[in-house]
Amino acid sequence: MTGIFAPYFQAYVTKIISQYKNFLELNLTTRIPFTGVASENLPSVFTPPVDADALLFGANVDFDSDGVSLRVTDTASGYVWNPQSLTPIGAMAGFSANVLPVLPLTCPFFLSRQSKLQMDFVNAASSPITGGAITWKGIKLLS
Amino acid sequence: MEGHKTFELGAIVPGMKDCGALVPYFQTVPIGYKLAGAYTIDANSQFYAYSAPVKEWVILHGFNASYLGDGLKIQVADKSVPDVMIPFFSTPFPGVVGSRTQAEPVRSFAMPYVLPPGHRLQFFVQNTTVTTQDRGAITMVGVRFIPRDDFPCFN
Repeated sequence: MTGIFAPYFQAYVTKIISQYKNFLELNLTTRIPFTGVASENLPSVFTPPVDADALLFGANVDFDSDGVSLRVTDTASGYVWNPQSLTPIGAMAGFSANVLPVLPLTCPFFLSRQSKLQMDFVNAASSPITGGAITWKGIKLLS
Repeated sequence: MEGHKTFELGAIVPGMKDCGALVPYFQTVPIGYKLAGAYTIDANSQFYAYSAPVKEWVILHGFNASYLGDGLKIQVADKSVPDVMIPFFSTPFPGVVGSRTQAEPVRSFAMPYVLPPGHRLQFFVQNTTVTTQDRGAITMVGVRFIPRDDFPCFN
């Protein structure tokens, strides 16, 4: 967890983890099919399926851009992380040259085993990206 | 999963139920006028912008912006509270918001700010420089409290 607020959410996260017997490191990478077209609206892409519940702690992208924007939806619950408009990628994910290549979420997100993250990307209006990948980092919860 | 039944934020979030889920919350508030797909703040101009209210409690962690500059000044207020977070209109952007190029892309508050249901934040941004600032958007980053009954994911 990030920053000085981690203790406030520690009980919540600990309670979730305590329901399971074990955990494994989990990295969910999704290719982003940007074609280098400015302001390109991509079809939704999804995280790979996971055969267990998971806790996601943060995300990384393999490009540096403040023009790319993203909306994330949990497919099982329908919860949209950013309700008003798409969010610049720099607020949601780190990149390799950052001090924090994986930008932590304020509180880890519980992704249930039947769910995936739906990601809707829009390419930058200037200096658009070609290709790309986003990696969600977390743990797989094992009973 | 039974673990979602209990969590305590106690004194930090008065009035919250002790039953529910904490889920990520990113609300991006565009600031400026829209020009060629980006929001622009002209030199020596200023804009008000407001966040959209939500029906749940939100625990705000910090702000991120697509741009930074000491010449940009910002004032922030919760419109349902008779006070302001920045009393004088002289605070440079980097003191309040982070950006992707920094070690702290989301600038943390000194303490998390609890935004009650229906409240909205007002952002007042002034560009005191002689250059146009584009890609104008501030993202509120935090956690949203979803009462368990409203969140079908958990059982």
